[in-house]
Amino acid sequence: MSLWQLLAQVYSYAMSLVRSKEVAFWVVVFPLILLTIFTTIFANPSDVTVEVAVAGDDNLLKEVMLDIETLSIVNASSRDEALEMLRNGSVDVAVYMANVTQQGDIKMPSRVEIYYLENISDSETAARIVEGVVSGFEDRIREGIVTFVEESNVVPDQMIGWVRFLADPVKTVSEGVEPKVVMNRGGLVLYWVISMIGVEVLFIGLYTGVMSIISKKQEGLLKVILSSPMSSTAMLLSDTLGNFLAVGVSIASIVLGGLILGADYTLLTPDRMAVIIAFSLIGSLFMTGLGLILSMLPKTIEGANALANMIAFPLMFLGGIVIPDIILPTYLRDFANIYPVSRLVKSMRDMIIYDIPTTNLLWDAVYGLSTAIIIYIIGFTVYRRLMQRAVENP
Amino acid sequence: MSLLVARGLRKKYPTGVVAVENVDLEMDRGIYALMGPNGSGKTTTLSMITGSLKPDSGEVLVKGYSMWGGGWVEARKLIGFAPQDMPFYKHLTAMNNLVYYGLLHSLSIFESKRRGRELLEAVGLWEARNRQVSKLSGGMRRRLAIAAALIHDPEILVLDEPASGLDPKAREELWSLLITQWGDRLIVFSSHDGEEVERFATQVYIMHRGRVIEKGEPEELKKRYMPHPKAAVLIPEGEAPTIDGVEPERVGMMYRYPLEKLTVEDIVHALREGGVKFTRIEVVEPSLSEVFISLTGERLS
Repeated sequence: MSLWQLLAQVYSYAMSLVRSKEVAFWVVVFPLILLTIFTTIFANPSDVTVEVAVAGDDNLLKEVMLDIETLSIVNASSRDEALEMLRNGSVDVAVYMANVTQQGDIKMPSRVEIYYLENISDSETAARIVEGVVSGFEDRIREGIVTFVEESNVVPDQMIGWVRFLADPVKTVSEGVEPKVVMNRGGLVLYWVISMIGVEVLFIGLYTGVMSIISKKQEGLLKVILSSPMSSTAMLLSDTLGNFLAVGVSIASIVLGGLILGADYTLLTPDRMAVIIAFSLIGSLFMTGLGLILSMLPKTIEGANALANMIAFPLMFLGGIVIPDIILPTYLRDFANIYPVSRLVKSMRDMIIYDIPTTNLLWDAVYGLSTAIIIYIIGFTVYRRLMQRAVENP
Repeated sequence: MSLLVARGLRKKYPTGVVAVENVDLEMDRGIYALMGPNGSGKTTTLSMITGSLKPDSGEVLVKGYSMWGGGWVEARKLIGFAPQDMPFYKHLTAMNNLVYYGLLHSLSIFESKRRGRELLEAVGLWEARNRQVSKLSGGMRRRLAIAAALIHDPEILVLDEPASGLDPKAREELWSLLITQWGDRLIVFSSHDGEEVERFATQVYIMHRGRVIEKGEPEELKKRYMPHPKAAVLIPEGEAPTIDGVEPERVGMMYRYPLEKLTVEDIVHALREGGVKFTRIEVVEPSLSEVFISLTGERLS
């Protein structure tokens, strides 16, 4: 095996990037298109809006809720109508304000019923938001009462503390804290830059592995390679290096595209860029190994394409690469935690969005590299068997 | 020691077809042909001697190195192989492809470019060096295939149907190039064209149904199996009779009488006397195609 043999596929990939529109599209243009689409749709900071159906007589609480921008209030004439709107998905939460009574100039409900859709996480989350609003409203009422009691001197000073305790035993304060890279457009674009890097690592690695033998066989190249002094090991390593080149070019294209789209690269120092490249190559090695294992299934290039698409697209969305794992069901989050590419992508995000030090990523790097090596070795074994079969029975 | 030796080659495909049975070859410098019709085992034999297909049994030695043993790297370095449809990256240029093949054979990128330049000039493709392969004509691609097979300067050049699909002029140019530039090496080629083999090969292995049925120099084989011309008669209906004790060879609707004892006039007279209707009669000079017919009773192509 010579170094020049290892560079054979790297050379052909490099020349293909320059001379083949198809190759240039998939490696350079396609990730930019995806990045542009996702950032256009998802990279504009927007407020969460909760659709709430509210039934019950007008009262102060309803007025307060109407003033909150997060809540989009829809009036319902009755509890049943509100529940119906909830059931058919028109609203996220239904609220029924019962027993509205007047206290002086203020109308207040004595009971607030909050309804949400079971097993629908968005609806449950919306219900918690409304509960928070109601709870905040109650706190303000209690504060008002305690202040009135203090100022009216109807209760001795020694009892004021006790009254406060009764009104508000545990004072809860919640406050939002912005991440180091502010979740403005720059941060959101940065999120998608990392996602697209993950997508390219996934696709390029998987296709390299799945196509490793079948494409050469179908194009007649395998015959010539087998009659050359190049060993099957050298051929595979050469393919893998070519794959790394494609991933590297893709990363460069995506990072540049992100810059044009307004990504905030404040935390993207050279050492962090090196980590991104290293993690991407590790991920690519894993996917190449996986592709090699799968390569024993298809008999044609078309079959290999279909198989690779069938694996890659679900992994893209369900593996936490494009969609944040926080909104995935628990079992998929567990999967994303095990799946090396997801973990590596998450580490990259943590590093440049949340400023996690690179040293904290060591465990993820070790995990990623060791699983990649294991899968690659298994894939290599499959590859050797397929090459043996190709030589004996083309 | 002969440059290329193959002994007892056998190959049976999973379909049950025995493509090659007990084939022995021994070749030194010169131009050797494997001649036979489609399906006779030529391509399978070439694949086995170049290392792209492992025989079920038998061995291949290239200058003493075993193709399938410990010396497999050295054996493959000595051979340059151009299959019938040489695979190129069609979106890459002629030069790009030559550099790629050079790298496959462990040449450095600089050496590959240098050799590429030499070979493109030798095969007359230097002006087309930056043209994508998809834009080259069939003849140009064949010449590029030969250049690619020679990139690492091998001692043995193996070509599978080198002139297939080329017009007569392009074929002449190709062979002229091969003989003048690399005629001092061992060139092994396969062909189903008896005329091509006759004109360019110094030694012939005739293959039929996976076996070598005869071998030798073209002239020697013609003298042995067809020392005299023959008269070929096309009889659409009925059969040709024996004339003066001479029984004809039959190949489809064509009947061949050797002109050793008979003349064309004798044959025409005898057929008319016998009421045999024929549409054509022609004199066939000795050729390897006729040798093949004599040996097998079948046409070469």
